[in-house]
Amino acid sequence: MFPSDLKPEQFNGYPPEARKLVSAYVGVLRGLPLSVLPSLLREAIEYDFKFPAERRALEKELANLDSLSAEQLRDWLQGFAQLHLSAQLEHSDWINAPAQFVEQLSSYLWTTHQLDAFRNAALAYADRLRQVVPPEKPPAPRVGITIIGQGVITNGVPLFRKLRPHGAYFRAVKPENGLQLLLNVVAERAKAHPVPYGHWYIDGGRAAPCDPALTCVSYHELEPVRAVLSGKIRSQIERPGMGPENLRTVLAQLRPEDLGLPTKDGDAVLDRFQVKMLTEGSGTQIFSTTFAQWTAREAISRDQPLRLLVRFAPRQRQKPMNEMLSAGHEVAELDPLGSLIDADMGAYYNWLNLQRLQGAEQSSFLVWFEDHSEAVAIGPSLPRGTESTTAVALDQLLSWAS
Amino acid sequence: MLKVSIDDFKAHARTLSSPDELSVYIVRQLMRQLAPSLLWITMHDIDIAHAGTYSLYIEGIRRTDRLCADVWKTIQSEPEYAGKTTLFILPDFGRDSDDDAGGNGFQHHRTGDALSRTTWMMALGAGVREGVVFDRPMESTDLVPTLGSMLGFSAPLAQGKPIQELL
Repeated sequence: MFPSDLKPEQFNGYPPEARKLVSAYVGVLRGLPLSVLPSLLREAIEYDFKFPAERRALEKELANLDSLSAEQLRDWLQGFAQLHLSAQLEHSDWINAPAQFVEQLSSYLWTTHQLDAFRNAALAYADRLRQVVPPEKPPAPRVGITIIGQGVITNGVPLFRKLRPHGAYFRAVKPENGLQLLLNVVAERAKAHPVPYGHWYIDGGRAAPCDPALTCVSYHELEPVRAVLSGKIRSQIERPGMGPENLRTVLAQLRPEDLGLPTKDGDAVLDRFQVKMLTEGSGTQIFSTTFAQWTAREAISRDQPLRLLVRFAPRQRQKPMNEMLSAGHEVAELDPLGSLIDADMGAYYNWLNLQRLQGAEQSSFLVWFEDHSEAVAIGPSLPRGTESTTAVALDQLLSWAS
Repeated sequence: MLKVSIDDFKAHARTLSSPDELSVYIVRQLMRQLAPSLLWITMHDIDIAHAGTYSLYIEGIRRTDRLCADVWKTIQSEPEYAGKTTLFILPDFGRDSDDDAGGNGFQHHRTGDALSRTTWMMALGAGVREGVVFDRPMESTDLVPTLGSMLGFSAPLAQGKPIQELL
């Protein structure tokens, strides 16, 4: 089937809001090349479960495509139109399973040496779209906070090496009550700018009490969901012919109800987000540091939050092979020092991902070694690549950075 | 084939920290028992990167680096191989660039950007000039035809070309 054959009733399997959205644009969708349309449908089919910023971006993108003349549309998408697709791809159910189509398309483009051409077409389209539909400016400067090193008593590894050149390194931070001070600041600012899903607290372990003004995700709270998921993964792996790609496809189809996730205050959007972190993330099911980093990445890129506090916690220790061969089913040990190294890199990625958002030049960022005196603060008013031995409380440091 | 009992094999595995170490143990056994002309070793410990844990990724890199050196030392210590063996070491992929928003740093090679598809190969041993760097672009598919030229077999289905600098 080709895009030119599309009919509104073919979207009857979509969730209600998605169906309404896509049906309104069937006319323009018929003019899109098959090499790009399923990518758009992959986003559209999730519309009911998207964050407000994502919804607005998708609506604007479709409206922009709809506003183009046939000739302009061809010009915008000519890079995609020049790609050659297989008959197998053309005959697949790309309307109802666009994500699976995109996976297969990626593999096909790779094997047919068309990946560069696809990538160039995608970059050209994204650049052009950004010119016409620029990303939204934040209503207030963004603030990112990352707390690393929970449970580490002594550390011989130099921290923040990738972040220090971008801000000021403080050696004499007052650690007392640091987590609560930072949570209070984030909650206060959330109340000053009450934007839905605008303010996040992600904890890689057991979360501190969470202010209702914040969107909270905790690895510990998801433990029952992770247990159900692990059982499903085990049973899938035991099936004949099940490989990593097949497993990935199966996991991507799981929904919150499949994993026994109790709807959190009726928040279907957050439930879906959390399940995706576990089913589409790689390593998020096993390592809490990966979960915290990946969840932050996805929250940043999808939701574009105003405030984001990420606290890493110790992940389980990776057992060497000899221990795995000999051991029984004892409780997993933790690896605080390895987790510190993971989180140090994770903090850098959090900053890097926040830098990609609109208004980055006004944003501020703080990374703190929990219960210790080291921190780096980055912000428009702080000098780069400097060090300070001034004794300072964390909330004060954050106000300097902002 | 390895001339090692199952019990001895299992007992030895219990002394090793990773599957790659077990692979290198098997390599040593094969070299001593059978002395094959061509040995292809695939190491997987570094794939822990896909789990997103930077510390374990670094550990995996260090272990693999050490194991490559162990293989080289074994080559030099075995009369069947010393002085007449060429060792090739190459990663199967690059990593996504930190600058590419579609990736997640070191974790994957998914974006299709140049860094994720560009990597290196080291060749050392018999017939290889030491301390020389070749910068011209080569394809990983050039490896098999190169091995064919060195060992005297044809690779009619291979899409690459023999690397002349190594022949």
